[in-house]
Order: sequence, then structure tokens, then C-alpha cells
Amino acid sequence: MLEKVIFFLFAVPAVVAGLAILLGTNIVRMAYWFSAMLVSVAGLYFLMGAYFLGVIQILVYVGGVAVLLAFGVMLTSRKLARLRPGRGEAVWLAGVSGVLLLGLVLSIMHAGWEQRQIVAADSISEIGRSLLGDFLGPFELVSVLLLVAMLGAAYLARPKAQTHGPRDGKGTTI
Amino acid sequence: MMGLTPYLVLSAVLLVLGLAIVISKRNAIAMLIGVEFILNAACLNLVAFSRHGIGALSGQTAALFVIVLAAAEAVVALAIFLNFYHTLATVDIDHGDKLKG
Amino acid sequence: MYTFERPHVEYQGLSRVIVRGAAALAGIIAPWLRRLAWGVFLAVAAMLVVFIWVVGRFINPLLPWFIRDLVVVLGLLGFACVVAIIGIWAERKVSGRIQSRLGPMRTGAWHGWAQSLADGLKFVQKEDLIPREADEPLFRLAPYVTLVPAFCAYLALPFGVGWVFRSGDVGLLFVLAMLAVEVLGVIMAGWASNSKWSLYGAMRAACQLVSYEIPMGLSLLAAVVAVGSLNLVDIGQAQAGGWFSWLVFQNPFLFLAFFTYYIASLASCKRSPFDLPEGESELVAGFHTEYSGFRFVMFFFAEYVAMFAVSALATIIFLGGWHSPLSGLSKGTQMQFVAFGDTSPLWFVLKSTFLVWVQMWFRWTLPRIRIDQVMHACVKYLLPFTLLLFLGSSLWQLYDNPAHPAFQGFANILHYGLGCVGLLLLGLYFAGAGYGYYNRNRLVGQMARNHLPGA
Repeated sequence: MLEKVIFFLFAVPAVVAGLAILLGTNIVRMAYWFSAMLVSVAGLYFLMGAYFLGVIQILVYVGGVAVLLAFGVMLTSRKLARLRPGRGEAVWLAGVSGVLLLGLVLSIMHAGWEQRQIVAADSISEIGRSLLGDFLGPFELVSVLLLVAMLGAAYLARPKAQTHGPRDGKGTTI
Repeated sequence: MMGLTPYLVLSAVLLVLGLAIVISKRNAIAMLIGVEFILNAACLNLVAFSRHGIGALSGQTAALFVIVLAAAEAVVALAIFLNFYHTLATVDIDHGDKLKG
Repeated sequence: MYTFERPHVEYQGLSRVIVRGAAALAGIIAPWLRRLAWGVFLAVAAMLVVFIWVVGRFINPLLPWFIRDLVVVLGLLGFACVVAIIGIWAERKVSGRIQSRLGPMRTGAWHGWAQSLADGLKFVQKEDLIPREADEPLFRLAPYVTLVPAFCAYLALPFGVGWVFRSGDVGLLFVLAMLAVEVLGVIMAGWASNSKWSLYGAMRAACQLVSYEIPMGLSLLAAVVAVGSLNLVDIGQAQAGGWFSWLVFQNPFLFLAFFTYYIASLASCKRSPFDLPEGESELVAGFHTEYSGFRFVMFFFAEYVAMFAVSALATIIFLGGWHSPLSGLSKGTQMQFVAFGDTSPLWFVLKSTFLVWVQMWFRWTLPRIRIDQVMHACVKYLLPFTLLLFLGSSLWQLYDNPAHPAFQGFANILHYGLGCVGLLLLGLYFAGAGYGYYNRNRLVGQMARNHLPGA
């Protein structure tokens, strides 16, 4: 019973955040609703016993990706454009999303997952062993990919010559 | 005990929300937020299955990789968006309709 | 010196009766209260202690777990608030003494101990200002997003073996994660103030905070490799046994890791020399410029709470946590070293307080570093250095075992050598402090020797 309560305590903010982003117009607020969703999902990881993953979610996603997105929003929101879709688009979107959601939920409910025993909470040493054992290949590949991403981002975001400045003559400063 | 279904339903809801955000927003960073929603939904799914015995610990390890990859992808995407903003003075993707420059 | 004067307004009717009655009562009670003040205070403290003992002994086992958890969380909250209040007062006294002046002396009878309380009262009654074009919900939310994670970090910090709220397997990462969420609050504050300078301060702060998390984490990981667990209680217990078993002296890489962690944590708390985000001479007050009154108090509190939290983390991981430095000496003898006992939460608080005092010392001694120098220091110097330390510590653990006796002998020599170096540094510190105290009348300036009139 308590588990259900805590599940809803974490699930409702996540869904509310998604709806707020979907129906909202202010991009800065969207970035913070996004962080709220990330923290809710981290709470769900804690509830499921995946403590390491929950902590990594907060450390990497909230402390890294959300901060990065907030930076990006603030650097590029000189003219905050209106983001609301038109009437026809909204109807189509609602229809398609509704059908998709209905299909997914129905297939989940009627899939007949066998109720297996819940495994004990993870232990970090086991995750570490699996990272260096079964998942060694992906581990090394991910490290190479991170290096590539870092180099690529640093190259893409390098300061450029001013002849290709933005059309309205104003740039971003920091 | 709660079982697997609530987690899967929540993950489906987050997936559909993320998809709707990606489809309906014109701001590039809002689209990125939508993509992150989808990735989080997938991670939630993976961890839920892992906790309920299917796949042992590989669900959590896979979710770990997804988190790392999502971070790398957000970095590169943001660098691209900054370039976009630098040339076009907006992040409205409807304005990115020229193949040149 | 209390005079209860009636206000010059003439009340009528019931109000007049109440006011005159209250004044008369206070005029009678106040002198007696002043005479018996200490007695009353000690009596209240004694009753509180007895009450807590009774509740702990008889009522605690009957309570449901969430009431107990709630009480512990409230206690931690109270502890963090007391730490912040004492920290603010201590900062002003320390800064005063370093600058050859006295600091607060008047509020409260002894060295202005009530200055923080007076400051709190002052801030609480200030006008609630929100800039007109500011994003109001975000403006209101930002102080909480900065303060709450700093408090949450205390949930995983062990003060002793049984003295931890929840000792999880990932306690260390949890504390780091809570300190990482603060960055969002800083950005929110800077943006929602709708001021260019606040935004600049927030951006610089976010750059700095996020960059310095990496050397922090790597230095801590160097120590985790030595112990083999992320559980803070395990890391503390691995250092049982006196001065020479503290992790900071175990191998030279960990010795240096302590200092890199400390420097990175200075940057993480936005303390000088990395306090450009709140650089007073450049950005007025950085990201919290537009915040006044209680909202500013929350940012201020968040800084001191985070300071103690990172110092506490350094204490647990490097300086032996709750173990006394004389821990191993009473084994085999009949003596009991009763200076706080062998392991005690008081040792933990003492060591963390010492590290906080050193943070304050740094702030008022070193000049501020420019933001590009801050980023260079992180990426060009601290990051490669901590990577090397992590590598070195891992290799040290690999070779420092009985399969390599020569290396183990060498490692032992270094171990005790580093311990002696630590003792030397401690001795130097106390020697310097003693010299300063002995010559205190000669060394300080005029303002600290002759107190201001009325102080």
C-alpha cells in the first residue's frame, strides 16, 4: 500500500511535468519542468531498489543534462517565440497520441506478465562486475563515444569568425 | 505488491508525452527535451523489468548506458543548436529550411 | 538596563487595561528574570535532556517508524541550521580577527554571539521585493531549489556508526548528487532575476560548479578505491585505529587527493578564492543580487550548510570520520583515553568544524581568481592531476599486498612517513597558533587591542 502511495507521489509529478511542457509556451519553464520530471524518475528508481541508477540519474541527468539544457535555453532565447500549435495540429496530435497511448496501455494490461519474484536491490559490486564482464564491449565503446562527443561538441562550439554572425547583428554574450 | 504494470503504464505515458513534445514543438531545445522524455521512459521500462526478475541485472546496466549516451547526445545536439542560433538568430526549426550555409 | 516605557499612544478601554497590565507585569518580572537568567536557562536545558532521555528510553520503541524518521530528519535540519547560524557568526569573527579588528561584539553579551539571530530577525522583517519583469514562480522557487539539496546531503552523512539517517550503499554518490542539484537553483536564481548581471553571475557559477564536480568526484574515487565501498559508514570504519590509519596518510596519492578534493570543494561551495559568482566588487552580489530578506537568507544558509557538508565528507573519507586520533593507543593498556572517547560524533563535528574554519581562513587570505583562471585551473591542472591520482591510487591498491613484499615495505615506510608529515603540519599549526596567541598584544593593530567604547 505504501509502495503504491509513493509510486503515485513520484509518477504524478512526472506526468504533470510532461503535460506542462506539452501545453506550455515558456521555454525556460519547460527546462525546469524537465528537471522536475528527471527527479521524479530518479525517485522511481529509488523506489524500485535501483539506488545506484537513481543516484547516477540525479548526478548525470539533473546535474549535467538539465543544466546544459538550461544553459542552451538561456543562450538562445533572445526572442521568446510563441510555441503554441494551431487548432488543426492540436487535434491531430491529440488523436494520434491518444490512439498510441491506448494501444500501448491495452497491450500492457493484456500481456500477462508472469509475476516473478522481485529480485533484491542491486549491489554496486555486481553492476561493476557486469560492466567489466558481460558488458565490457559496450563499456569501452561508450568511453570512445564520449571522447568523440566531447571533441565534436568542442569543435562545433568553437568561436568562429565574425563574418558569419547572425543576421540581425546581435550575438550572444556571456 | 504492485507488480510490473504500473511502471510500464507510466513508461508508456511518458513515451507518448515525449513523442507529442517532439512532434508539436518548434523550438529545437523543446524537441531535445521531448527526446530526453522518450529516453527516460525507455530507461524506466528497462529498470522495471530488471527489478521484476526478467533479465537480472542487465536491465540496470543497459539503463546506465542509456543515461550516459543521452548525456553525450544532449551535448552534441546543443552544440549543433548553438551553431544554428549563431547563423540564423533563432532556434525555430521551421527556419532551418535551407540546405546552404 | 531594560526600561519598559509605555508607548506614547493613549489607549482606550480594554486595550488600555491590557497594555498597562502587561507593562506592570513586565516591570516586576524583568529584574528577577535577569537575576535568575542562568538558573532558568540551565533548568530548561536539564529538563530538555531528561525529557529526551525519557522519550528515547520508553516512548521511542512504541512509535511507528515514520515518526522516528521524522524526528531524526527534524533533528538533522536543526543541526544544519545551527551550523549555518554559528558559521555566519564565526565567519564575521574570523574575518574581523584576520583583518586586525574584532568583529561583532555588541549583540549578545559575549563577543556578539547573537549576531546571527539579530541578522535573521532583520532579514525576516524586510520588504518582499520581486523585480517587475522577473519570472515570479521561478524567482520564488530558486532559493528552495538551492537550499533543500544542501540539507538533503545531511541525510546520508554518518556522524558515527549508529548515527546516520540512512546509510546506503551509495551514500557517497548521494551526497555528491545533492550538491550537484544546487547548480539548477543557481541558474534559476540568475535567470529569474531578469537582470543581465545576475545572469552573468549565474552562468559563471554554473560553469564553475559543474566543472569542479569532476575533480571532487575523482579525488573521492581515489579514496573509494582504497576502501572498496561507496558506503560512508564502511569508509569511516576502515580508518579505525588512530592517526596513522587515516586514509589521507595511506599513500601519497591519497595525501594529494585530500588537498585536491579540498580545493575542488572550495570551488563547489563558491568560496574564495573561487567566489566570482558572488564577487562583490564586480557583480554586486552575482546571482542573488535581486534577492532580499528571507530569500537571501536561504542562499546564505545554503552556502554554509554546503560548506559543512563538504567538510564533513572530507572528514569521513580522508580524516578518519568519527575516530579519535588517539584511537589505537589504549589497546593493550589499562588506560582509557576519555577525551571524547575513542569514537564519537563529537570528533566528527570537531574535525569538520576545523575544515570549515580553514575554508574561512582561505577566504580572507587569498585573492579572488578570475573566471577564466578558474576554468583553466580546473580543466588544465586539477582534472589531469586528479586523473593521475586516481590511477596512482588504483595501482597502489593493486601492488600493496603481501604478494609484493618489497613494494609493501616501501609502502609502509611511506605510510608512516606521511603520518609523520601530517603530525608535523599539525604541530606547525599549533605552534603558529600558540605564537600568535602569546604575542597577541603585539601583533594586532590598535583596533583590536582597545575595544570600542561600549563593547
